[in-house]
Formats: sequence, C-alpha cells, structure tokens
Amino acid sequence: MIEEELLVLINKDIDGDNTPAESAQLRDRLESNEEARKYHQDLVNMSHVLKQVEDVDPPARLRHDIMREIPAAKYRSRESEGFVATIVTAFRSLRTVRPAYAFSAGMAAGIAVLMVVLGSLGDTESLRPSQVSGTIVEDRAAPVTSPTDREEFDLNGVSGTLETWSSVDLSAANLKITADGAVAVSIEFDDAALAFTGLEISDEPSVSVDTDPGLIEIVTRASGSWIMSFDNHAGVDSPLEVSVRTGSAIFECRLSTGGD
Amino acid sequence: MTEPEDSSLVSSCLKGNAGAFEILVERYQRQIFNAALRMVKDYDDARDLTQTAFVKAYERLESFDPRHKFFSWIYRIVINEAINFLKWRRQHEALNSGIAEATERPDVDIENGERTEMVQEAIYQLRVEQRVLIVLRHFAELSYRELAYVLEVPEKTVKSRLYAARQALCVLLEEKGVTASD
Repeated sequence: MIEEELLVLINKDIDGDNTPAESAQLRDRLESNEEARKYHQDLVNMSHVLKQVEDVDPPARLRHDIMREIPAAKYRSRESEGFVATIVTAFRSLRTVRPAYAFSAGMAAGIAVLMVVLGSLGDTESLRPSQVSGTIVEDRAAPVTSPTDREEFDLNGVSGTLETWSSVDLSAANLKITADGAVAVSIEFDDAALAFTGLEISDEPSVSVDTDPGLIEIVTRASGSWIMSFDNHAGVDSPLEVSVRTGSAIFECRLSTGGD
Repeated sequence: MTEPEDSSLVSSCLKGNAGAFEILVERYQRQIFNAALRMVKDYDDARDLTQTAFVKAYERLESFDPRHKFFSWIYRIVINEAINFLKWRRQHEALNSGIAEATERPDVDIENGERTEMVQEAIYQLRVEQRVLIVLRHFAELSYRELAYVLEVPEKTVKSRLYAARQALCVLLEEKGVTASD
C-alpha cells in the first residue's frame, strides 16, 4: 500500500509538476519503498509508451465536410454589410453613371420585397424529389431595371429561379429555391473576369456555402434565397455556369452577366 | 504573420463570418479527431463524431464562455458526443450480440502499428471515465484545470480519477507486455 502523499508525488513527477525539493524527496522515498518504486517505473513506462503513439491523420475532406454541414447563415443575418449595403456602396463609388443609383434603389427595394415574401413563405413549402424541368427566359431589353438573364427550374419538386442583374461594372445573381430536401447548387465563373464580392443569404438554418476562386457551392435543405454580387471591371459578359442537383436529377444552365 | 486568436475567430464568426470558423476547424480537427478515435476506436465513427462536434459547436457558439479556451470547449463537446455514442453502441451491440470490428486506420506506420494497436486496445479496455482522462491528459495534454472544466468535476476529483486510470492502464500494458521502445 502506497501512502497518499507518496502517490501524489509520483503522479506529479509523471506530470512534470514536482519542484526540485519534491523531486529530491521522491528519490529518497523511492529508494526505501520497492512497491512505490515499481509503481513509479510502471507510470514512467506508460507515459513513454503513450508519447510514442502517433496521431492518425484525419480524413482529407473532414474540414470540407464539416463546413458543408454547418448552418452558415445562422449568424450571417446580423452582419450589417448586407447585399443592399454592398450594392449601395459599390454604386456610390461610380461617379459617371447616374442610372446606377436608380438600379441600386430598385434593387434594394426589390430585395426588401423578396425578403418579406420569403419570410412569409416560412418552411411550409415541400419537396417531392421526382420532377424536373427548366426554362430560360432572357430579357436584356432593359439592362438596368430588369434582369440581365433569368432561368426557372422545377427539378424533382425543387423549384426555383435564377436571375442575373448588371450595371456598369457590377453584376449580381439572385437564386431562389423552394424545397425541403437536399439541393446542391454550384455556380462556376471566370474569376479573372468576375470578382466575387459578397453573398446575402436568407435566414435559413439548414444551408452551407463554400466559396473558392471561381466557384460558389450552396447546399440547402430548405427554401431560401441567395444573392451573390460580383465586380465586373472589364465589363465583359462573363457567364455563370450553374448546376442544380437534387438526388440524381441535374439541371444545368448558363447565365449572362451583362457587359459587352 | 500572426495567427488570429481563437477568441477573435469566435467573435468574427458570431458576426457572420463563417470563414473564421473554418480556421478553427482547420486548427483543431486533428486533435479532436484523434481524441474521438481513441475514445471509440473506429476511424469512421471518429470522423462522424468530429464532424458532429464541430457542427454543434457552431450551432452553440453563442453559449461559448470566453473565459475558457475554445479547444477545451470543443473537447468537452466531442467527449460528450463520444460518451453518448459509446452508450448507444453498447446497447446496439448487445441487441445484435456481436461487436463491430474497428475500421482499419489508414497511414499507420507498419513497424509501430502492432504496438500502437496494443496500446489503443489497452486504452479501449479502460472504463470510459478512465479512458477520457488518459486521452485528454496524455494525448490532448489538457491541464488539470481544463480537465475539470471539460469533465465538469472538481480538480481534486480529476486527480484521484486520473491516478486510478493510470494505474489501471499500467496493469493492462503490463499484461500485454507493452513497453516503451528506445
């Protein structure tokens, strides 16, 4: 039986917490106590054995998988730099084009209405994964106040619209989805022509967003809307390649972002 | 370049910057995954537990007490998840009257693999409350104060339980003839 005080000294030694005086005391007491000496030696061995066990590499995609699962929008609604603010700020920097202000105001009003409408929809829409169709409606007649490009899709019960808007050197894409099952959307673009500057997400808990240069990936399990803004300094029509997937059904399209 | 503090990243995340959380995931995924692996001894289950722990951490980020370290908090979450999982697995295994084989772990050094496996086996034979202490103290290197926070028990209790866990592990290692290599 090893007395409590000696037991503590031995364990503190393993933790490296003994003072020099305590270490000296431990040495003295171990010399005269075989049981304690063996216990100490066993703990030293155990400590060395554990130190020699190497970590195992986690799965390569672990971080990616975690980020896909987190409800990224949970805290985002508090951010003051919303899309409207982004648009307004961007357009304020444009000295030459007055219509941009009109577009900004129109866009802000439109988004406000959109948010109200989406908020009233709540989570009541349902998804029935087995029907898909898609149409593209292009409207470039009114470059400032109308969408540059527009698509609608109905994919296994997941329906939605995609619109792009553009003015001078700014482009925006508005994605709206009505679903209550898993939907994955990827938006590829030429990041040399379009610089992704911001994303506004409706307050949905079951969404994850990944952004990489030239790629935005959105996974949602509920209805929601996403507004992505881009700088288009070159003013060229650099398209967005969009893919919407639910189950095995895929809807793909290309959206113009305006420009020449 | 100075790496941002955990507390700054948490604040940034709460302001809507999910990218800040990704930095925390990158920073701690390896430690959390290995803690989970040593608790449940199955690669795929450890991956799932790690993922669940980080997702729960994100969802509960507002409840994080900045007086504690973020990594202590995430350890607390993953350990609780692991304990709950082990309870579930024990019931599940009892119902199926069989024990699931541990998933093969990739990238284990062949020469050290056998000894590592024996050490892991010895750790796994400890009672869960003892296993937690060995994992958090000897692998995660948490202080006694941090252990007390993670396990929600007084430091004095941590010490007495850890001493007992060490003794139990020594017996198991001795039985398996595992000694430290040179």
